[in-house]
Amino acid sequence: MHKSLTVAGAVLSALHGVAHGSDNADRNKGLTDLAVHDGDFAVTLTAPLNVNVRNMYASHSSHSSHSSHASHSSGSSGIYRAPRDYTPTYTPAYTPPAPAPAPAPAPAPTNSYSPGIQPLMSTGTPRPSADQLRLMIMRVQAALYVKGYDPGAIDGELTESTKLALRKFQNARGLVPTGKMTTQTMNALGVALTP
Amino acid sequence: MNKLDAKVQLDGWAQPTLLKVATLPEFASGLFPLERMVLDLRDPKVRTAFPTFSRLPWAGFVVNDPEQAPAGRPWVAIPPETLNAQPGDVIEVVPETSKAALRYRRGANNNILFATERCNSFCLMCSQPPRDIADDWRISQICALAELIDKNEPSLTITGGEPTLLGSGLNRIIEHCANALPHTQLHVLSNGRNFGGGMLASSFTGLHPALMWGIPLYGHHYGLHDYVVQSKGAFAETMRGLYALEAAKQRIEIRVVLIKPVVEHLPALVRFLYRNLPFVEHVALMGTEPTGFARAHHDELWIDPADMSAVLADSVDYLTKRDMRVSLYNLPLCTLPRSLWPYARRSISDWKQHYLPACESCAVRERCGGLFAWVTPAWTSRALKPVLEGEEQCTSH
Repeated sequence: MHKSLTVAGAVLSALHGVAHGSDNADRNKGLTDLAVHDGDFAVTLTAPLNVNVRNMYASHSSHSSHSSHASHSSGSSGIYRAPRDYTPTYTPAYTPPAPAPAPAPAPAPTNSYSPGIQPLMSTGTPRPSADQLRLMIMRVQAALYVKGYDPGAIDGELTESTKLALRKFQNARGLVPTGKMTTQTMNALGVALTP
Repeated sequence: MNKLDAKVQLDGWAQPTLLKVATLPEFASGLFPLERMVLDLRDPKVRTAFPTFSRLPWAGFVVNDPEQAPAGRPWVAIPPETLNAQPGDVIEVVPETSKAALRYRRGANNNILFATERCNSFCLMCSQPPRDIADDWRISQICALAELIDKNEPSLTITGGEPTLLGSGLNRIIEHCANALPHTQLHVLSNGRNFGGGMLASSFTGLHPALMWGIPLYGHHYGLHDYVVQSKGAFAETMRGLYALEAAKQRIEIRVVLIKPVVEHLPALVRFLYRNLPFVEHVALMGTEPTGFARAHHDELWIDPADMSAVLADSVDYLTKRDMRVSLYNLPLCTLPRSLWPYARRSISDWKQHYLPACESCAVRERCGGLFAWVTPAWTSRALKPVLEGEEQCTSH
């Protein structure tokens, strides 16, 4: 599609050139040839960064929402809600995650069925572990910083200044200024949602 | 010319390791695992994010000075004067030899994946003389490298040696590139001889979305081609291979190195190409790279590009009139008639591209591919001279 457009465009401009004087005909033919040639080699990134990826970070408006998942359930809505009585328990220092399985705490069941009974269908977006979320927030902070916004320290905490920077970025890009890590925002920032 | 490897100070590495050089954008993208990246502490923006940032599970750190390295973590010191390793590049650290090498350079015009040192031909002008060594380890190394290359890299070249000598390893590499870099055009330089027999060519059907084979043909007659590649029967094998690749729906480029015996018969060769291989997508007529075996065969090979003008003009004209696409590689503009300038490409890899002092005042330097860095007076055209302001506008000559 893209290639045919490139070529069609070149042909049109070549015709245009012919109509305006035959001395340019050779040059325009050359341009058309080039466009046809380039079409074969054209690499077009038609897809945005995150396509068909479930965004388990989009609903986070604060980092203070995950270390103990077991105490609450988000039901089947797929929207992650922080328990009201939550207090952060991790230390400010980042601990590198163990290579393979996500560190404790174990992820909570994403449904309200009793343990052992599996739902027939997946009931929502999985939740990130605390370390996954910290890392993703750090990525967003780094991307904001590179783009000239001030998210505060690149520390993996969704602070007020980070949320403000997110909103400013979203505003500048014509996105809804939610201060949240929506898929659109992540695409605009160039942050991949996949691991 | 830039060096591609250098002695460096390093510590903490157990084995040769491929690493993506990361600053904030590479970290933010999340496209590469932290465990396979080195954080570039030479970058001031990275240093502002220090120290929280340094606690992440990076494979290690790039520093200017060993004292910058966080305690207990692997590091490599690459001050600017050693190696031009930039963010996004892939380096290999080799602890055994205390070396760092650039394996991928972001934005370079010609990144290669080096498949093997082995070859079944011994071309007179080979720039990369083959060695008969077991280097199948390169298969997994290339696959690992592909995973660290930018996802928007426009093109990569697989070269050697003869890549088909990797057997199914070449299929693995191409398939891996299709998965890791689906948007990157892949150019494989092969002599095509192994495609003649069996099912090898068809094993590549549908393997990659943008794959092109660059196959050399040096004559319209077996005697000439076999002489140039110093291998009896090579012409017949390559011809059978070209037809097998066409039957397997592969895209093909014919590459002709412009050494003296080839230039003498170039008109016959391009006519042979049109009659027998009209399906090829592109014909590249290429100046000789004066290194490797070529240097030893100067007298047999050298023909001044200034003396090729008539033959080149005829060949380019013949092919373009028949809708066969043709390009000229490795030939400075000043050695070509103006009518051929539109076909000249800046084909010399940027790291080995070179200009002579005479080129300083040239008006078309920015359009010209220049010369190979290892050019010597014996390999320099007598026609080399700066094109002056105004001259470059002249379309008739």
